[in-house]
Amino acid sequence: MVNHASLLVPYCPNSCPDGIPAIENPLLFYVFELANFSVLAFFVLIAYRLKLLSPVSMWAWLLFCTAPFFFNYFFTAPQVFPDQFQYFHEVTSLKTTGESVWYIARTEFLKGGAMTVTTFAAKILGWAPIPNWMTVTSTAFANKFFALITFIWLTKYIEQHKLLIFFLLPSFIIYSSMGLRDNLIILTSIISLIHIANSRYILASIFLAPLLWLKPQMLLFIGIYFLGKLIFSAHKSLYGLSALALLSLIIVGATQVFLIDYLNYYRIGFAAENFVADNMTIGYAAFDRYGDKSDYEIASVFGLIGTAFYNLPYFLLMPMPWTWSNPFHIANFLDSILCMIGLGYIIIKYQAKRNQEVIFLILCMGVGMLAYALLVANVSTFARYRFELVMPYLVCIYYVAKRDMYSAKALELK
Amino acid sequence: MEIKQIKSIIKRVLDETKIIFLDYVFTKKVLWLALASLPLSTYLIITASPNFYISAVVLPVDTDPQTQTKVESLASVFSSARKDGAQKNTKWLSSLRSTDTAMEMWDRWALRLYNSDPKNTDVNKIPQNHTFMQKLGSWIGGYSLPKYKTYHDLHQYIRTQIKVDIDFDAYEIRVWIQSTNVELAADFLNDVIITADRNAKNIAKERSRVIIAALKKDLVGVKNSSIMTVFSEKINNEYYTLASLTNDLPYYITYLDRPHANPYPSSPNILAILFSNLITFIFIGIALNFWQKNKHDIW
Repeated sequence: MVNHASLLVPYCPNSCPDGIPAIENPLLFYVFELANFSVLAFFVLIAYRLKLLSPVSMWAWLLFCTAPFFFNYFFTAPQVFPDQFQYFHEVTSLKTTGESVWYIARTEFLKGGAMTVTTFAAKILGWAPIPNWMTVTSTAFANKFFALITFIWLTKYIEQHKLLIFFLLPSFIIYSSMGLRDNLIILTSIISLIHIANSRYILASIFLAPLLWLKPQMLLFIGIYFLGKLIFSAHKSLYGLSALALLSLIIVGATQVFLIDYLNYYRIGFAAENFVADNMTIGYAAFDRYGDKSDYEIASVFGLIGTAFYNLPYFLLMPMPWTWSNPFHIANFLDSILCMIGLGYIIIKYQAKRNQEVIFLILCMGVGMLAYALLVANVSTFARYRFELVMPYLVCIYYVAKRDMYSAKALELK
Repeated sequence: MEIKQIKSIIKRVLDETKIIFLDYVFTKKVLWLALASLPLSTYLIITASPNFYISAVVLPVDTDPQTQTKVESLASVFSSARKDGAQKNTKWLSSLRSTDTAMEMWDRWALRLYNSDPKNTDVNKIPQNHTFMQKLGSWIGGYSLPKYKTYHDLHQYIRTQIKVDIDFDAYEIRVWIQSTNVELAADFLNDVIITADRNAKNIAKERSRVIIAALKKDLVGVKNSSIMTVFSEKINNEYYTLASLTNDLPYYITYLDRPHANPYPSSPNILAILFSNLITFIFIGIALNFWQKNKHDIW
């Protein structure tokens, strides 16, 4: 069932966005969303019965499936992540009329008819077998469904109780419990990376393709691993790794004018988005009047690299405790610390410091981090970007490190 | 993976699914619970008030009076035509959301919207309700809460309840509201649209009057003939504006569709309520069956 008038009738448990009061019977929110929860919980029980989930995983997933009830409208107002409404409106519009919602149709028209990222993400979210699409929480349940499927698939490669630790990372719980596209980015990145690690390049390409719309920069960061492994064998040959590094330097040198313009464009764009003028006006309009582009422009490739390295420690640790302004900042900070500890633990426990594939994976992740560190402006946005980059790589590093350690031990035994 | 393997996996999944459905879904308990969902659904449907979608479509027709005939002014009209198209709704929209509109409407609407006491006929004596937390906060903080509703409440109501969608080319504006009381909402919507237009007109009239007064005052001391001509032309323009605005017709907008309600309520969605409760109750039955059959294995 789809909320045919999703733009008109918001079903909210207490207060709706944009100051629209909830409809008279807020109980309906729970009626619709409990049905969504029931379907997901049914899938969990079936997965347990088919022995795809262990008892611990079953309980954990039953708990995870309740999480969408606790984020939007409970812990936080859905307006904190306003993108959710775009995805929800687009899903309901596509399901009821087959066409984009008017404001996304307008964007598509202005882009010359190109599909927007919202439409693409909404189409994927719409595949989830969720019975009701009535509120933003419905899209959160769709995200949970995809997370469950990916978890079950990943159990082929990683033990369930270890995998649960990754899925328990606070930011992952948050993003998979909201109607955002971040969850889809993380899941497709994980699946692509695992396929690349297993040298299944065609399957990896299939799962990399959605990233072209969902998050093009992630496609680029994972693409380095993909091409490095496929063409240069950089995962096992030092010469291959060196050749890849040399080729990358040549490409950077040859395209430096374009690269500098391109990165400066985004540096200024992100800075403008986050700009606060002395008179407390904010955003692009304020930057247009009071901002100075030259403060953010970097003139050389060495300047770009230097700035990226200079910003890297801050990018890794932000948001710092003294800048926390909402509970999500605490989760972001905790994630960053946990991921770094996790990476160190994996390297030590699975003797991966000489494992070239792990080193190569860390280098690919490092390139992504440096790119983000160069552009860093809005803390919340870049904390999201960081997590989308780190979690898939961490899962893949764990998988590769463990697989290689056991295969090395097996060889020793032979 | 070989075909044999795939076949065996599919066979296993189908067998297990069959067992799951026989053991957990097709049971008396699930059937009873599915039936039990009906009274709850019926209760929810009966107690939910139908919400109707009431809308009107207006066309912005904000064309400032043109008395100039100079070639350059005509050229400027043509060159800024597109820009004007996008901006012409601004004055009316701002007026719709202004306190002035709420203030003007307060006397007409306060009692109809807010009054719960039939004996009360004073718009300034409509009691303001406060939540327990607001009362507690005021008691602890030592500040007083407003006793009666004011036009600020109506202003807030207009800003939050009345929604405005501007079409792709900013030619048509759809103004809508949701309500359980169709007649009241349609009247209210109509009044808000007309009052907003009237207020925008009043502001423009007042502006013209002030400009005329100032120009007349300055004209007395002007000796340069070309400046006198310009001043006179400006005064004429403003008089023309005043003449255009001094009537009861809508000025910044015109109606394409007067406020009317969709005959079918946009909520509650009866099928969705029935279907959702059915799913939830069936799942409760499945979960109970699952618990009974697996309670020793799932720890």
